[in-house]
Formats: sequence, structure tokens, C-alpha cells
Amino acid sequence: MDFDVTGVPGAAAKVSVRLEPAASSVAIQVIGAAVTIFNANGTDVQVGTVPSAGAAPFRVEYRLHFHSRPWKYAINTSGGAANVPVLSDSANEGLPDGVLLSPDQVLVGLVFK
Amino acid sequence: MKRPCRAFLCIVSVLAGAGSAHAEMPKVGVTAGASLPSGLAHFADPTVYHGLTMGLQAGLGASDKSATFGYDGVVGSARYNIPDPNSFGNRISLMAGVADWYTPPLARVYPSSALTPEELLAGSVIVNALVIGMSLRLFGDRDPSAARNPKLWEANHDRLASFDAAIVAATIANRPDEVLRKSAERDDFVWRNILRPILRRPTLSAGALLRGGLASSSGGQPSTVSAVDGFLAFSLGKGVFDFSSVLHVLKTFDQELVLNYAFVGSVGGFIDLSDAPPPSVVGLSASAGFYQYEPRSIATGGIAPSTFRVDGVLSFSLAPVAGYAAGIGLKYSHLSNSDVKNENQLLLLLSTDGKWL
Repeated sequence: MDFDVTGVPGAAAKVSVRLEPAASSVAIQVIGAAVTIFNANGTDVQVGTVPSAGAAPFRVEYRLHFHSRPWKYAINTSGGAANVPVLSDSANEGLPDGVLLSPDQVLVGLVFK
Repeated sequence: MKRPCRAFLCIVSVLAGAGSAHAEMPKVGVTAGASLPSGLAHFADPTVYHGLTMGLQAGLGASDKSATFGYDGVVGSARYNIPDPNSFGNRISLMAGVADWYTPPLARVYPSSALTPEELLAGSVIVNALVIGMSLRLFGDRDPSAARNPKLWEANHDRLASFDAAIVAATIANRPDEVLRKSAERDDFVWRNILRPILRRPTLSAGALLRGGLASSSGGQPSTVSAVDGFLAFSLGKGVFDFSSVLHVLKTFDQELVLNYAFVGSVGGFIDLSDAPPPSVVGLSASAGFYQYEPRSIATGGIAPSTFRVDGVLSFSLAPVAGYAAGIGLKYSHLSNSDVKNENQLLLLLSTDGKWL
């Protein structure tokens, strides 16, 4: 499901994603049809600009793949965008520890308005 | 102009466990090489077990033959492995159970001059008793989780990320056939390059099994049996092959058991029947042991017979389903005994193992 993020119009919209365990987790960023592997070590990355008043919002989607449990993630927004932290872990999702052939997948959408 | 941040209710979709595409690695049975399918050797390597598991191993077809002795009967056990991923505790496995101990007819072990008339006519004895044990993994770790074995995950992370990105791209582009194909490629990559190599890592474990005086003999009499079975187990594998070797030193402390001490060495080779997890496994193992019986007095002096036994086991382990594993095997034993004629015996082995907690 999506989070709505607002901030300073025209300012940089930054996102950081941190996944653990890093070795078996992958973050994929989707903006429109553009799919890229996203740095998941918690570094702030500019993904766009906070829209000005009246401008159409833009949406950034993160698809998090976890190949080993336990796992946890934290997504934060910064820069011109106010921080909207999204975080959880496998225990919180009721998933027992183990190793997965096909990964657990978490979808988080950020809608910058 | 600053505007306040708003966050609406968010539901994060966790797709874990949904659909057949999701395959959780079984926690039982993937290291077949660590389990020699004969009684208590099964206890030798607890690497991939966590929490409490229940097991039953049985050898059917045991008879009065002198080739049947020691822990050749039914073994029911519960093992507990400390599920701590970050400390010494995960190296320890505890076990408690009951096991039958077979003693052949005395007339098949000793010359008649060493036996009383009653002992000459006595049949085999089956004694059931509690066993408790502990093993310690000395080195090596076959747990494939990234928390315990991160190196191969790290080395293959870029490739894994490329697979995942391609799958997401195909999903976004609404190309379901490509999603399925690339997902299968990724799962195969993970199994061949990360999970299976970890499950084949070398491990060395040592442990001991203590047999307490308990229960009753087959005649209903209280038993005071006791024995110690110490073992050292080494496992190593590559690809679909896994190998295991176990050294046992067995010492009893009660003459009722007839066997005094024994040294037994086992080697086993195991082959996965498929290249995708969880595999069914065929195994072939062999063991050779020197067995020393309790000494007896006879009119002309003392006698302490010994024997040499060779066992071969052909086993088949079904691919575990939902954490439950089962196997079947054929065990051939050949006994060389200078005092008694050589004997052969065939046993049917059954084994089950299931994660309980």
C-alpha cells in the first residue's frame, strides 16, 4: 500500500532504504516503467523533487526481496520531503525464521505530493 | 511554504507463503550425509536442526543371530537444538529417548564350557532403557541462513539483485511467462550457488550418548544396564554428493550387556536424486567394527571372545515434506567370529524425523 509524503515544494525528495541481513536482501526501485536496483544500506538517495502546489504527485515504489529470515527493513524520506518512516520485520509479520528459495516480498509505495 | 507531512494508513504487503512459487527450505533432511541411517548414528550431526524434533529409527528383522547386538533395535528420540543464531548455544544438541539393546544368545558368543546349563539354553535378550546424549559441533556450520553463513550470500548478491530486478521489470511490464521463467532461473541459481554449497560445508561434531539403568528386560526383571557411546562425525560434500564418516567408541559398564567395548568406523556416501530442493536422497554406507565381549571363566582359564562385524546399508530418504522426513534402508551385516561360525543378516531400517516445535 502507498504512503503519502509531503514536504517543501520544489525541494529534493530523498529516500533511504536499509535492509537486514544485507547479504540476502534486495531493494528494487520502480518509478513508472524504470526498474533499478536500489542501494539498501541506508544512504539518502534523491529520487525526484517534491511537487509544487497544483503539480501532479509522483510515485516511487520499493519492492523488497528477502531471501533469508529473520529480516527487517526501514524506509525513510528526507531532504525537502518530510520523514515518513516505514519499518517492519519478519517476526512482526508472523514469519518464522528460515531460508527461502523464493524470497519474501514487501511492497512499499511512496506518493510525493 | 511548508506543508505538514501526512501519512495515511499503510498496509505493507508481505507475499510470504503465498502460492506454490514460494518454497521454504526444509529444516530437516537436507544434509542426508550427516545421517547414517542406523540407530543412534543419526544423532551425529545436528547442524540443520533447530528447536525440538522427534525421531524414530527402527531395525526390523532382528533375530537370535549373534550378528544382532548393541543398539540394533528401535530407537525413539527427541532432540533439542538450541535455536540461537549468534552464540555458542547453536553448536549444542541435546537428545533423550529410549533404545533397545540386543544381546545375542550366550551360546553363540561363548563356548559351552564357559556357560551354565541355564545359560546354554537362554535365548537372546532385548533390554530397553533411557538414553540421553549431547553433541557439540566443533567446526563448520551448514545453516544456510545469511545470519549464520553470510559469505556466499555476499559473494552472489549482485547476481541475485540482477535476477530480482529482472523479475520485477517483467512483472511491471505484465509479462507473466517471463516472470515465471526468470523466477525459476533465480531459484535454481540460489540453490546451486548459495544454499547447496553451504549445506555441503565440512563439519565436525563430537558427542556422547549415555545409557541409564532403567526400564526392564524382556523378562520383566529390573535392569541396571549402562553404557557410553562416544562419537566423532565428519561430513563434507560437493554438488549433489555428500559424504559422512563417524567413529564410535562404545564402552559398557554392566556385564548383563555381554558386550564389553567396541570400536566402530563408518563411512557413507549420499546422492541427491534431483537438482532442486528438497531432494530425495540415496545413500550407501559401510561400517566396520571390533567388538570385545565380556570375559568369562572356564575350567581351563579365562576366555574373552571378540568379533569383527561389517555392515552395509543402502538407504533411500524421501524428500522432506513440511519438515517431516522419512527413510527406508536395507542393512546387511556380516559377522566374523573365531568362536562361532560366521553369520550374515539382513535388516530393514525405517526412519522418520519430524520437526515438532
